[in-house]
Amino acid sequence: MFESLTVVAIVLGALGYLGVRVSRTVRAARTAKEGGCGESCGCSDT
Amino acid sequence: MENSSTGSLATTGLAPEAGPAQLTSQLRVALIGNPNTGKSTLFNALTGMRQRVGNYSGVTVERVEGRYRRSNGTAVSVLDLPGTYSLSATSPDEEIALTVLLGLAPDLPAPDVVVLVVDASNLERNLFVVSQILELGLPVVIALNQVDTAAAAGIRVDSVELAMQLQVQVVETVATKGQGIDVLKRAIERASALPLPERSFELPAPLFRAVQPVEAVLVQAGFHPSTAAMEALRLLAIAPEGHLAGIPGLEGEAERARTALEEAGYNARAVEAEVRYGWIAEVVEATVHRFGSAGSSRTDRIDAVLLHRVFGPLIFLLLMAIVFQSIFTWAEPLMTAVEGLVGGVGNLAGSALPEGDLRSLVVDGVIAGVGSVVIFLPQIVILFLFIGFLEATGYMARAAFIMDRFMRGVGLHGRSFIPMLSGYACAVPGIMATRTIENPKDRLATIMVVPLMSCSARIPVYTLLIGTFIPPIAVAGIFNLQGLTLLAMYFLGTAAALVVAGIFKKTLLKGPSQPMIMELPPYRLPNLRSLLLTVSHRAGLFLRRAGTIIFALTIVLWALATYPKTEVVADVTDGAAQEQQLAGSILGRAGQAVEPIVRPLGYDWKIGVSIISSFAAREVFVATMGTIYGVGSDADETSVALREQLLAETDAAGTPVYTPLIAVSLMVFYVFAMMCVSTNAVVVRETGGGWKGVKWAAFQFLWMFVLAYSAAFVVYRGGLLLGFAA
Amino acid sequence: MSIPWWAPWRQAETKVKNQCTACLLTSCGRGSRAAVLRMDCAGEEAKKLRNLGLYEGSCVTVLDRQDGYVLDVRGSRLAVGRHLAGAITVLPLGG
Repeated sequence: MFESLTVVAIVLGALGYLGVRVSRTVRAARTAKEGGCGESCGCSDT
Repeated sequence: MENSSTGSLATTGLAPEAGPAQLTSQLRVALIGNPNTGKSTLFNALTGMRQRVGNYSGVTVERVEGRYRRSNGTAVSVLDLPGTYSLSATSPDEEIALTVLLGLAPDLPAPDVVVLVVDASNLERNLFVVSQILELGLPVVIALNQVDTAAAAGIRVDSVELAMQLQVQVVETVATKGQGIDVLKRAIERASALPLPERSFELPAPLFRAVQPVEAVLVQAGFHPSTAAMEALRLLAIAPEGHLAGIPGLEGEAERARTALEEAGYNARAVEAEVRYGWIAEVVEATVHRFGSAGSSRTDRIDAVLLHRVFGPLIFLLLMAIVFQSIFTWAEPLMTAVEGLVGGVGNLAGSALPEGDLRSLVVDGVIAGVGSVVIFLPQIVILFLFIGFLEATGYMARAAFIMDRFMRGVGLHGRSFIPMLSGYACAVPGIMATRTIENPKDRLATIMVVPLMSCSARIPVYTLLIGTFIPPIAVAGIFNLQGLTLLAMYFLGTAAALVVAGIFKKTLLKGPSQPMIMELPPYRLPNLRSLLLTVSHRAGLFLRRAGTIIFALTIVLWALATYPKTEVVADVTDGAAQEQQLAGSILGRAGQAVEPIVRPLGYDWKIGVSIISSFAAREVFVATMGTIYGVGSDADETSVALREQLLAETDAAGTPVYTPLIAVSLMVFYVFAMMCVSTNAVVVRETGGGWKGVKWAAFQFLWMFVLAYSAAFVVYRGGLLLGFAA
Repeated sequence: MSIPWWAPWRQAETKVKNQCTACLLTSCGRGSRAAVLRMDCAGEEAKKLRNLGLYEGSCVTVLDRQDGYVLDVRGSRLAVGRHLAGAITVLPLGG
């Protein structure tokens, strides 16, 4: 039971992370179109 | 990024007023200068290891920042601006430099102090950008760098006289040896308190009268008078773009100024260069002293050999052969070590965790998945070491010069050659190396075709298929059919890359062929520390991706290959159980769903599954085949069990599934198909990021897939027609 | 400049068109010096060359010529393509 929950949590976490990355890219693309700045790749990660 | 709203036109050039207030907090220093002045080495000497590398928002210009501590404990942040010959914004690099210095960059306030790095052995050309920056109304310190190499070449620059002429502090430095760094730091401290530099030459009367109204318009628009004077002179040669676009009446006044100048007998477009270089000539006359013999320099002598019409290209070819030989031979033991390490970690995790899904996730999913990517790190590091070394010695520009004629044949620049060559090891560093290509269209065309070069991730696929299905027959006495097949795959990819690049340059990325304008820097010994820092930054970038996106993807892929679970019939071998399990999973069902698509190529659903799973990375194909054929997922391309299974596999009617023809068609598919998440990610980033990057990456994936499918189809169907059934 | 035995082709190159009339940079041989008179290349390239110190009225020396040209411009080596060199009109300076 505990193990299955862990696995589900990890997989969901991975999916969530990918989702965040995709949505961040999309959002950055939108703001860039409106004349703001795009995603400053890498800089914000560290 | 706390001060992201700074950058309205009204504050332009007013930074010094903010200077003293910020002394108590953080001092912002920007480092700028011509390329090849040792600017990055100076930056490393100032900041040490405390630096971070990113991109300026929206563009693929590398943004390097670092910091050091002052004696009173407060931090000084240092921004290493890209190397620029002028502030005329003729390239993305120069545009970024100008925007940052004017305080108009979206997330960067204007610097408090500008450190201008100047090559002592080439003062004349270096002073052009200096003369422009002195007029920006920012505190400036000049670092007169490489005074040692200048002295060796018989050039002495009188730094005291230079300071008098330019009215700013001049510090002599030898960045490679760390000399003068402390003096430079002290000069940076003092800079804000000193009077601001300004233009120290008078314009000829007609020119002065002509630019006066343009300056007035700019001052009206909120520019600092000194900055306005610089911009007005610059505007004679350019159209008001970027931050100058949309200022009312500016273009009209600029056009009137140009007409007035032409009437007075001046060449309006050349007049800025004329007056600035005229002033520079006087400064050089007063400050540069030459001594010793004026014989041919060391660089001349080396160039006589390396740029020789016969030996030059030969030496270049020899060098490239050595680079490649070492990428494959030196990396071999390291890759084995990484493989062993990954395996060890897997075993450790396997024994620590109880049997079950969690263990499978950690061992088969995460560790094996991330491991299959990290294994390429040694090759990437070695390749970057070579590229960095050749770049630092000054040879890279010569290589581009030598290859220019050849690359021009397909409409590309000589600089496209190295990235394409790097693609043989791995497309990721190849695409990152395209940053040296200035023309955006050339750069895009190169990025589009780099993944066609057969990278080392394809080697496991080729080895498995060739080793199993291509007989080791001797051809023409000395050649082996297996080796020839491998060579043919490499040749196919290379030829396709050149042809496709030519097609792109003639259609989608059509544009005038970019003429070569390139400085050939003097040869010098590279600085080991700088070299290692650059390599570690690039390797870090690669590892970060393996640790984030690829990590997440492997987990998802594992889940797709594991769920939903099927009841396995008892008393079958482990391998057969694994196979049934996979067939019932989402991934297995997807493979069966795509079977109609891959059927025309002669593939069955199992190959379909392997292809789908290899979207993450090509070499996953081998591991998936291992899983499917029940020999365990730790099968590798040399596994005898897997090879026997493949040869013995038959369909319902009893005919073999795999024939040499299918093997060849499958290899051709992998030559062309873009199956690599790392490359996709790096293409998104390098083609501009955001939607634009995603569009280019998607486009690249699609055309490569279509090409791969058609080529595999032609090979299979053509082969059948020609009677190569078995 | 002496011509080494292993490079007989240099002989042809060192012949400088020495009359005092304007010609294209492409007809200047290795080692010749010339003043730039006119630049008929695209605006962007001309701008770049001017910033690098190669503008109307400045002097260049041809250091090497193969498919492209290596020029000495204000003490630095500048490689320019053949097409670009063909768009630059110069006045050869004796020697």
